[in-house]
Amino acid sequence: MATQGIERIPDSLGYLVLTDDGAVVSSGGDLENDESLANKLCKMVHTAVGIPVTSDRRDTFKRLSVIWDDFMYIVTVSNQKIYVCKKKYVPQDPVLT
Amino acid sequence: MGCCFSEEEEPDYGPVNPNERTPLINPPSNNQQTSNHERTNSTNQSQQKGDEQSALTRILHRNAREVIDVTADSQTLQQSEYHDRQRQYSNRLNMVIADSGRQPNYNKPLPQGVTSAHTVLSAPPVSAADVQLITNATDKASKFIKDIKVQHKEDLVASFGVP
Repeated sequence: MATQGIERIPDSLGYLVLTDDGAVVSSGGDLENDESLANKLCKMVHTAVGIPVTSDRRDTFKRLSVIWDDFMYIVTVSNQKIYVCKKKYVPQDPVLT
Repeated sequence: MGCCFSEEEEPDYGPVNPNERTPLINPPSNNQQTSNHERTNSTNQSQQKGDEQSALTRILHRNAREVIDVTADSQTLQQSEYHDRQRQYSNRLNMVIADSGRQPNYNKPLPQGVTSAHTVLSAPPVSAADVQLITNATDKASKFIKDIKVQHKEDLVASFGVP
Protein backbone atom coordinates (compact mmCIF):
# COMPACT_ATOMS: atom_id res chain seq x y z
CA MET A 1 0.00 0.00 0.00
CA ALA A 2 1.19 3.46 -0.87
CA THR A 3 0.92 4.96 2.59
CA GLN A 4 4.35 6.60 2.31
CA GLY A 5 5.05 5.41 5.84
CA ILE A 6 2.54 7.73 7.48
CA GLU A 7 1.42 4.93 9.80
CA ARG A 8 4.81 5.29 11.47
CA ILE A 9 4.67 8.99 12.23
CA PRO A 10 5.76 9.60 15.83
CA ASP A 11 3.01 10.70 18.28
CA SER A 12 0.34 9.98 15.66
CA LEU A 13 -3.09 9.00 17.02
CA GLY A 14 -4.42 7.77 13.71
CA TYR A 15 -4.12 8.16 9.96
CA LEU A 16 -6.11 8.05 6.75
CA VAL A 17 -5.10 7.75 3.12
CA LEU A 18 -7.85 8.80 0.70
CA THR A 19 -8.32 8.90 -3.04
CA ASP A 20 -9.30 12.20 -4.64
CA ASP A 21 -13.00 11.33 -4.30
CA GLY A 22 -12.68 10.59 -0.59
CA ALA A 23 -12.58 6.79 -0.66
CA VAL A 24 -10.47 5.31 2.13
CA VAL A 25 -7.41 3.56 0.76
CA SER A 26 -5.80 2.87 4.09
CA SER A 27 -6.53 3.80 7.69
CA GLY A 28 -5.47 3.09 11.24
CA GLY A 29 -5.58 4.15 14.89
CA ASP A 30 -8.38 6.53 15.91
CA LEU A 31 -9.29 7.12 12.28
CA GLU A 32 -9.72 3.50 11.30
CA ASN A 33 -12.45 3.35 8.63
CA ASP A 34 -13.69 6.80 9.63
CA GLU A 35 -15.56 7.48 6.39
CA SER A 36 -17.57 10.42 7.66
CA LEU A 37 -14.41 12.27 8.63
CA ALA A 38 -12.89 11.21 5.32
CA ASN A 39 -15.76 12.83 3.42
CA LYS A 40 -15.57 16.04 5.43
CA LEU A 41 -11.83 16.38 5.02
CA CYS A 42 -12.08 15.54 1.33
CA LYS A 43 -14.54 18.40 0.83
CA MET A 44 -12.24 20.70 2.76
CA VAL A 45 -9.28 19.71 0.61
CA HIS A 46 -11.20 20.29 -2.62
CA THR A 47 -12.26 23.70 -1.34
CA ALA A 48 -8.76 24.57 -0.19
CA VAL A 49 -7.23 23.51 -3.51
CA GLY A 50 -9.29 26.21 -5.22
CA ILE A 51 -7.90 28.98 -3.00
CA PRO A 52 -4.88 30.68 -4.54
CA VAL A 53 -1.96 30.96 -2.13
CA THR A 54 0.43 32.85 -4.39
CA SER A 55 0.06 34.82 -7.60
CA ASP A 56 0.74 31.60 -9.49
CA ARG A 57 -2.60 29.81 -9.58
CA ARG A 58 -0.90 26.43 -9.87
CA ASP A 59 0.49 26.81 -6.38
CA THR A 60 -1.71 25.24 -3.77
CA PHE A 61 -1.50 24.64 -0.05
CA LYS A 62 1.14 22.34 1.31
CA ARG A 63 -0.46 21.44 4.58
CA LEU A 64 -3.92 21.91 6.03
CA SER A 65 -4.24 21.93 9.83
CA VAL A 66 -7.59 21.50 11.51
CA ILE A 67 -6.87 22.39 15.11
CA TRP A 68 -9.07 21.62 18.09
CA ASP A 69 -8.34 22.30 21.75
CA ASP A 70 -6.34 19.15 22.38
CA PHE A 71 -5.91 17.40 19.03
CA MET A 72 -5.54 18.26 15.37
CA TYR A 73 -5.84 16.80 11.92
CA ILE A 74 -2.98 17.49 9.55
CA VAL A 75 -3.80 17.00 5.91
CA THR A 76 -1.59 17.02 2.86
CA VAL A 77 -1.90 16.04 -0.77
CA SER A 78 0.69 13.90 -2.46
CA ASN A 79 0.56 11.92 -5.68
CA GLN A 80 -3.21 12.46 -6.19
CA LYS A 81 -3.96 11.12 -2.73
CA ILE A 82 -5.02 12.82 0.48
CA TYR A 83 -3.01 11.97 3.58
CA VAL A 84 -4.48 12.71 7.00
CA CYS A 85 -2.79 12.36 10.36
CA LYS A 86 -4.44 12.88 13.73
CA LYS A 87 -2.13 14.17 16.43
CA LYS A 88 -2.29 15.56 19.92
CA TYR A 89 -2.15 19.34 19.78
CA VAL A 90 0.55 20.89 21.86
CA PRO A 91 0.99 24.61 21.18
CA GLN A 92 4.52 25.40 20.08
CA ASP A 93 4.85 28.61 22.00
CA PRO A 94 2.83 30.08 24.86
CA VAL A 95 -0.06 32.31 23.82
CA LEU A 96 0.69 35.91 24.67
CA THR A 97 -1.96 37.93 26.50
CA MET B 1 -38.05 -15.13 -2.39
CA GLY B 2 -36.30 -11.79 -2.26
CA CYS B 3 -33.82 -12.32 -5.01
CA CYS B 4 -32.38 -9.83 -7.39
CA PHE B 5 -34.16 -11.45 -10.33
CA SER B 6 -37.59 -11.71 -8.78
CA GLU B 7 -39.10 -8.62 -10.43
CA GLU B 8 -37.89 -8.19 -13.95
CA GLU B 9 -38.21 -10.99 -16.42
CA GLU B 10 -35.62 -10.63 -19.10
CA PRO B 11 -36.01 -12.61 -22.30
CA ASP B 12 -32.28 -12.97 -22.96
CA TYR B 13 -31.13 -15.15 -20.13
CA GLY B 14 -28.62 -16.97 -22.25
CA PRO B 15 -24.99 -16.40 -21.32
CA VAL B 16 -24.22 -15.85 -25.01
CA ASN B 17 -23.75 -12.11 -24.69
CA PRO B 18 -23.63 -11.19 -21.01
CA ASN B 19 -24.41 -7.60 -20.10
CA GLU B 20 -25.08 -5.70 -16.87
CA ARG B 21 -28.60 -7.18 -16.66
CA THR B 22 -27.55 -10.78 -17.05
CA PRO B 23 -28.54 -12.57 -13.85
CA LEU B 24 -25.70 -14.16 -11.98
CA ILE B 25 -27.83 -17.13 -11.06
CA ASN B 26 -30.03 -19.06 -13.42
CA PRO B 27 -33.55 -18.33 -12.18
CA PRO B 28 -35.87 -21.03 -13.61
CA SER B 29 -34.14 -24.02 -12.03
CA ASN B 30 -33.84 -22.24 -8.69
CA ASN B 31 -37.47 -21.22 -8.59
CA GLN B 32 -38.58 -24.73 -9.33
CA GLN B 33 -36.36 -26.08 -6.63
CA THR B 34 -37.76 -23.63 -4.16
CA SER B 35 -41.39 -24.49 -4.85
CA ASN B 36 -40.61 -28.19 -4.53
CA HIS B 37 -38.90 -27.61 -1.22
CA GLU B 38 -41.82 -25.60 0.03
CA ARG B 39 -44.31 -28.27 -0.86
CA THR B 40 -42.41 -30.99 0.98
CA ASN B 41 -41.88 -28.63 3.90
CA SER B 42 -45.55 -27.88 4.29
CA THR B 43 -46.47 -31.58 4.39
CA ASN B 44 -43.69 -32.21 6.88
CA GLN B 45 -44.94 -29.41 9.02
CA SER B 46 -48.35 -30.95 9.52
CA GLN B 47 -46.95 -34.41 10.25
CA GLN B 48 -44.27 -33.59 12.75
CA LYS B 49 -45.81 -30.80 14.71
CA GLY B 50 -44.39 -30.43 18.16
CA ASP B 51 -41.20 -32.21 17.32
CA GLU B 52 -38.52 -29.77 18.33
CA GLN B 53 -35.75 -31.55 16.50
CA SER B 54 -37.57 -31.44 13.19
CA ALA B 55 -38.41 -27.79 13.71
CA LEU B 56 -34.75 -27.00 14.12
CA THR B 57 -33.89 -29.04 11.04
CA ARG B 58 -36.54 -27.18 9.12
CA ILE B 59 -35.04 -23.85 10.11
CA LEU B 60 -31.63 -25.10 9.09
CA HIS B 61 -32.94 -26.24 5.71
CA ARG B 62 -34.74 -22.99 5.14
CA ASN B 63 -31.61 -21.02 5.88
CA ALA B 64 -29.51 -23.23 3.65
CA ARG B 65 -31.99 -22.69 0.87
CA GLU B 66 -31.98 -18.93 1.28
CA VAL B 67 -28.25 -18.64 1.02
CA ILE B 68 -27.36 -17.67 -2.52
CA ASP B 69 -23.87 -18.63 -3.46
CA VAL B 70 -23.23 -16.38 -6.41
CA THR B 71 -19.69 -17.56 -6.95
CA ALA B 72 -20.70 -21.18 -7.36
CA ASP B 73 -22.98 -20.55 -10.29
CA SER B 74 -21.67 -17.49 -12.09
CA GLN B 75 -19.56 -17.64 -15.19
CA THR B 76 -15.93 -16.89 -14.61
CA LEU B 77 -14.62 -13.60 -15.94
CA GLN B 78 -11.26 -13.13 -17.50
CA GLN B 79 -9.06 -10.28 -16.34
CA SER B 80 -9.37 -8.49 -19.67
CA GLU B 81 -13.16 -8.80 -19.62
CA TYR B 82 -13.31 -6.75 -16.45
CA HIS B 83 -11.73 -3.81 -18.24
CA ASP B 84 -13.91 -4.25 -21.31
CA ARG B 85 -17.02 -4.25 -19.19
CA GLN B 86 -15.84 -1.33 -17.11
CA ARG B 87 -15.35 0.72 -20.26
CA GLN B 88 -18.66 -0.43 -21.70
CA TYR B 89 -20.62 0.41 -18.55
CA SER B 90 -19.00 3.78 -18.02
CA ASN B 91 -19.78 4.67 -21.64
CA ARG B 92 -23.41 3.80 -21.09
CA LEU B 93 -23.46 5.73 -17.84
CA ASN B 94 -22.04 8.79 -19.56
CA MET B 95 -24.67 8.48 -22.29
CA VAL B 96 -27.43 8.39 -19.70
CA ILE B 97 -25.98 11.35 -17.84
CA ALA B 98 -25.63 13.33 -21.07
CA ASP B 99 -29.22 12.56 -22.07
CA SER B 100 -30.69 13.54 -18.74
CA GLY B 101 -29.12 17.01 -19.00
CA ARG B 102 -27.37 16.63 -15.67
CA GLN B 103 -23.77 17.60 -15.27
CA PRO B 104 -21.52 14.81 -14.05
CA ASN B 105 -20.67 15.83 -10.52
CA TYR B 106 -16.99 15.09 -10.49
CA ASN B 107 -14.51 16.93 -8.39
CA LYS B 108 -11.61 18.56 -10.07
CA PRO B 109 -8.51 16.39 -9.95
CA LEU B 110 -6.15 17.05 -7.08
CA PRO B 111 -2.88 18.82 -7.73
CA GLN B 112 0.34 16.87 -7.68
CA GLY B 113 0.98 18.03 -4.13
CA VAL B 114 4.04 17.47 -2.02
CA THR B 115 6.58 14.77 -2.76
CA SER B 116 6.81 13.31 0.72
CA ALA B 117 3.64 13.22 2.76
CA HIS B 118 5.54 11.74 5.68
CA THR B 119 7.85 14.74 6.05
CA VAL B 120 5.01 17.25 5.84
CA LEU B 121 2.87 15.40 8.36
CA SER B 122 5.73 14.89 10.85
CA ALA B 123 6.71 18.56 10.81
CA PRO B 124 5.92 20.52 13.99
CA PRO B 125 2.45 22.09 14.11
CA VAL B 126 1.81 25.70 13.24
CA SER B 127 2.67 28.14 16.00
CA ALA B 128 0.03 29.26 18.48
CA ALA B 129 0.51 32.82 17.28
CA ASP B 130 -0.46 31.82 13.75
CA VAL B 131 -3.50 29.95 15.01
CA GLN B 132 -4.46 33.03 17.01
CA LEU B 133 -4.02 35.23 13.95
CA ILE B 134 -6.28 33.08 11.81
CA THR B 135 -8.87 32.72 14.57
CA ASN B 136 -9.04 36.49 15.00
CA ALA B 137 -9.22 37.11 11.27
CA THR B 138 -12.04 34.61 10.72
CA ASP B 139 -13.90 35.93 13.78
CA LYS B 140 -13.77 39.42 12.33
CA ALA B 141 -14.72 38.22 8.87
CA SER B 142 -17.74 36.31 10.11
CA LYS B 143 -18.81 39.27 12.27
CA PHE B 144 -18.63 41.66 9.32
CA ILE B 145 -20.38 39.26 6.96
CA LYS B 146 -23.26 39.14 9.43
CA ASP B 147 -23.36 42.95 9.42
CA ILE B 148 -23.77 43.20 5.67
CA LYS B 149 -27.17 44.69 4.95
CA VAL B 150 -28.86 45.63 1.72
CA GLN B 151 -29.81 49.29 1.66
CA HIS B 152 -32.55 50.28 -0.70
CA LYS B 153 -31.52 53.39 -2.62
CA GLU B 154 -33.39 53.60 -5.90
CA ASP B 155 -35.46 51.45 -8.22
CA LEU B 156 -33.50 48.74 -9.97
CA VAL B 157 -35.76 48.89 -13.01
CA ALA B 158 -35.68 52.23 -14.80
CA SER B 159 -38.06 53.06 -17.61
CA PHE B 160 -36.91 54.97 -20.67
CA GLY B 161 -39.07 56.82 -23.10
CA VAL B 162 -42.27 56.19 -21.23
CA PRO B 163 -44.41 59.31 -21.32
